[in-house]
Amino acid sequence: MQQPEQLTSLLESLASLKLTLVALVLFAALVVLIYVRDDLPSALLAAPLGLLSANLLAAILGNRSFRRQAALLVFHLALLTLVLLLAASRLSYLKGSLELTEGEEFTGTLLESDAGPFHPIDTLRALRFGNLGFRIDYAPGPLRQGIRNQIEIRGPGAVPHRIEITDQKPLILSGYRFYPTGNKGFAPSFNWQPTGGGEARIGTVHLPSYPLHEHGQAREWTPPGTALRIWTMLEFKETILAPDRWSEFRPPKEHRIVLRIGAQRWELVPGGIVDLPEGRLEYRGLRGWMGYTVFYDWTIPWLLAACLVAIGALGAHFWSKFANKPWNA
Amino acid sequence: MIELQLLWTALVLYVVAGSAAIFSVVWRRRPERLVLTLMAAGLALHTASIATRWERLGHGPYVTMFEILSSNIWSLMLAFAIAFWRLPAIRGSAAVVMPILFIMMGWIMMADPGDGSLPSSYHTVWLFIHIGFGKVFLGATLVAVGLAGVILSRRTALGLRWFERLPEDVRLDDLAYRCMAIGFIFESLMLVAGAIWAQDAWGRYWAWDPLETWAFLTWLVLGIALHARVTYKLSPRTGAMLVVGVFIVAFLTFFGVPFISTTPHKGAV
Amino acid sequence: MSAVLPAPTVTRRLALAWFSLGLTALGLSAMFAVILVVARTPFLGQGAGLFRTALVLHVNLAVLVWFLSMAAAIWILSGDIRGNVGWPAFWLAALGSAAMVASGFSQQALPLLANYVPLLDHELFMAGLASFALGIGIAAAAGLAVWHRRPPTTLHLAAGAAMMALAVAAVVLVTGFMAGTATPTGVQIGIDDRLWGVGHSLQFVHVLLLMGAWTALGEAALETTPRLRRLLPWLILGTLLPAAGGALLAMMHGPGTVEYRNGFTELMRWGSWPAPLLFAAGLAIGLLRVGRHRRLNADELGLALSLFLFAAGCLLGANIRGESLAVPAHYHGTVGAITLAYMLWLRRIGVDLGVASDARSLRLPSIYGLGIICLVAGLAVAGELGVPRKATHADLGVDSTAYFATMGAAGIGGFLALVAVAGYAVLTAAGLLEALSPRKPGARRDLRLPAIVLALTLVIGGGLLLDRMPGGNNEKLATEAHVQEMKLKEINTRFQQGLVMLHARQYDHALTAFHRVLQLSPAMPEAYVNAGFALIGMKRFREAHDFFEGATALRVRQVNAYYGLAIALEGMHELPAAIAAMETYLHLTKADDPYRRKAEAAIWEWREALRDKP
Repeated sequence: MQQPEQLTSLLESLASLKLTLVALVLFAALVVLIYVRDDLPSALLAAPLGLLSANLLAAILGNRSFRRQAALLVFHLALLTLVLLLAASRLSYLKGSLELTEGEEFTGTLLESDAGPFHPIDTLRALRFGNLGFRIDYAPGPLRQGIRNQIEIRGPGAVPHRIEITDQKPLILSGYRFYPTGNKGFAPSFNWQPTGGGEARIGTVHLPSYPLHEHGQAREWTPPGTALRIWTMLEFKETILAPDRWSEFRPPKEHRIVLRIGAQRWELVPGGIVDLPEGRLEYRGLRGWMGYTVFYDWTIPWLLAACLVAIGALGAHFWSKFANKPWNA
Repeated sequence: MIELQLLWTALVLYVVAGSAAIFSVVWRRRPERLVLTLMAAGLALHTASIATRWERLGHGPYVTMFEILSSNIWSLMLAFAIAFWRLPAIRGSAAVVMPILFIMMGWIMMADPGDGSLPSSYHTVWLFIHIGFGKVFLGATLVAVGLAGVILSRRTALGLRWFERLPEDVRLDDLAYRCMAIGFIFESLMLVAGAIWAQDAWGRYWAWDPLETWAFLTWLVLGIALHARVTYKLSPRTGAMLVVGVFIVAFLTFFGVPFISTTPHKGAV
Repeated sequence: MSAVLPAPTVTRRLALAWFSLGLTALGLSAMFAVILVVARTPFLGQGAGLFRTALVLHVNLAVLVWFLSMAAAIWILSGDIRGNVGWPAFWLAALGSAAMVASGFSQQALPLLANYVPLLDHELFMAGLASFALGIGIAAAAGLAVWHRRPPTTLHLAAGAAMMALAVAAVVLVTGFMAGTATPTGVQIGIDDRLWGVGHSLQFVHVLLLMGAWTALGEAALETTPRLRRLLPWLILGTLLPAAGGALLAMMHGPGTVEYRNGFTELMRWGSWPAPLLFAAGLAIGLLRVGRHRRLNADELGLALSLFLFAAGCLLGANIRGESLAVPAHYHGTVGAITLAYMLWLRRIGVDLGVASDARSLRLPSIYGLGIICLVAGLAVAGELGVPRKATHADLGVDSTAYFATMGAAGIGGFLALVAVAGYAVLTAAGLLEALSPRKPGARRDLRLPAIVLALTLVIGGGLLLDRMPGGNNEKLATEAHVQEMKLKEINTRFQQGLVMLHARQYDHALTAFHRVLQLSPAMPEAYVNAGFALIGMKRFREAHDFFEGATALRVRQVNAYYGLAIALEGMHELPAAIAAMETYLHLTKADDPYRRKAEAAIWEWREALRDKP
């Protein structure tokens, strides 16, 4: 008979409202600490949240006020659900980025990504869509306006069809949300024909983001199957984004591509060719590339539902609590 | 510029209304009708000023520090004017609330009234929802802090004399608690609306940016204050100190963090 | 007189259960209507993702579950139905309704809106619908079996007539599904063809029970109009007889045939409204008389609104030309009249059955009525503004301010109605649950389990809903192909239907079909041409002319369009132009075209006519 008694007293102390306060203060302190010190992982917050959850569960079992005040209990249950959902979210989310030249297809690979341990990455790898081109207007300043990006959804499981995505209306495929971003720029396109008759390859070089790196439009790259390091720079005189009038992001009408390998230097216009011992490089022209962020979190709708239920229940609780006595008594 | 003239006139009216309210407390007179009229007139002019500026710029008052201060003075004045109008018993708390607003009015005099440009992520209805909830939250907290200020100043002989006519502490404490409860609901709604907006605008619903962190801390502190009231039978004085604490954190969040990073959300553009 | 027949205590709980089911359906229907409004509001920027599913559920929950659950409850009360039959019937209907709602969350459940009865294309929905129908059928059959035991008051008569009308509907339903896969003329029979008859037959059930509701609510008014009271049994009979005609029709013709379609349409067009409208007029007079002596109470004001709504609905129904907003205006009027009457009736019966009545819900039915009137008026006027545009395909000549003002009025009215219905459903359901609960009042209850269930249901259900909202993770994107396929299918059936109607000289039905085809596929010259021929059949030559022009604008070599154009021009007495058009036709058409001879003859004839004139 001693066992249940001990259990009951343990439950009682775990259900203590004072413990709730301690855990809440701890939670707040940790939030501040993590905010101040960048090196601490936000996963530390799991400790006070776990404590709060245990405290709440014990209170639901033991606290008398939860038996009668249904709205208050629904509020706390929704908070509990919220915590569980956040845990699930941290285990399965994905955040990443990618870049696609106009006309290029997404083939399931990301430039960089950050994902929870249980993220089902194969779903992402199977997604296919094409960047058909984009338009971005600039107000005088220049100030970027909304992005309008034409996308063709190709699969899986969909007939190819086109949609337009914007800053705030992402492409949603199997729960993955692809947002176009202000990180975009120019992409010279080359045809590389290796010496000795290998297969010709067409590729693009994504120059640094424009207009962020307006004065550093250069990059080094290596043609496939070689050890060459080709430094490539875009040169043009035109003002693309004017400070004093409306303009639009677009490739310059007249431009040159400067190539440098070691001390050798070439200047190319579209159609220009450079013959190297390793192969022949043909400059085909300039296009735009768009940087996307991708975000996956299956819990979002339930998180929102839990939040709304919590707020609604708390509102109902306070309403019934205050309705009895008038404000102006 | 007409919008600035309207604004300055409105501020003068607020100051006169506030001073009259404070004097009425100190000298125990009752020019309350006059105070309410002045507040309403000030609000009308202020509304006209904001509307004129909105019309001219094509966007609402939520980009520059000047605009944020202006719109918050407006909404806080409105919240307090409603409380002043509907709850005659606590009109004396104007002596606490108005000085806080005077500080903000002094601040706006120093802010640059120049134009800002609207980031593209602001073209969404969630902006209004998010800001609207935030304004209700801060307004409710302001009314609560007025009541808390009355309770706390009653510790002094002067305060005891000034606020003699107001209801007893327990009653004020209960009203402050109600305001805090309303504030908690709307702070929660503001966070949720903000998260929805953030998901749309930046592709994530939460990223612990400075303002998000501070807004969440405000929510936590408010939650702690409400919870403490339930846990311990707090005296009105302790309750009042908690209210003041919450208000300070909220004030820092609303006006301190944007002050550091110039636009409301760092990295928002 | 009580609002309902004296209720034996045995059946009280059963009736309350049916009322609860009806109220739940009413509340959920209002919720889905909110989704409809949100999805249509441009400000909130939501697309059509959830719109169609929400529409299907809104309609089914309102006119099927809510109306028929009310009916079942009334039958239970009027027939003293025993629990051993009554409860299984109730649970069949309740589980069926739940299945229908649940199927809306499935990715595969595609909405089929084109049909008379909107459906979700999913086994779960169909099974739910069947289960619900079975439950209602059992309730009606059980009620009919014991109906004779009670003295025949007017109310009892109306309830009995409604049960008989339901029996007719059941016969029509069964015959509809017993038919083969195609009509004798070779047209494929679709699910909407099979449900066409029962959809119409159910209108009689609703109307008969509405008369019962009016009888209960208009007691005082009936006191002042003794002649109306004597006439009432005949009015009920006058509605029941055409309803019974449905069974005859279903025996004689198969679904999908022109006769079947038109038969039911005509039955409803001529049979379902005259008696109730007469009744409404009499009651209105009675209410005026009562109003001279005392102020009308809340229920009587609500009754007046219901009478007005019904009359407005009938009037708008008579005014329908083709597909326009006049159609929703019409059925929101009649459905609103029934819903309002039931809301009032349910509250009264509840009081009789010992349900605590919440004073806050007293005025809600009338607020609902006013909101619906606003909605109907807005839709009707907007429909008037929109009709010429649709009929002639002329340019948008509509004054947009007026158009938006009327649609705005409709929106505000609809919102008001929704809020009132939601409030009413919640308050009344709370009272019903209290009355149903076996616990003694005043006892402290442990609310933890209900709270946990509620919280989990709300979070999981809300999440599922948000997930499927436009912008949610599972917005129907990948199923685009499926939607497209269903659309093509519908275009095809509708087009075939139109052709059948055209050959049967049912020109307005044909026109409706082709209108729908053009809605789905606006660039289909064949549909323009056939709509044009339908209009020629209706002697609306100028509009026909516009359609043929539309066809040739889309496809220059649409040969038969020139033939039609010539006929239309002849009808407009523009012979030279007609001759030119017919010559174009002859120029383009094949040498062995059977209509060649006719065309040549026509040209000759028109030339002669021109020569005879000075």
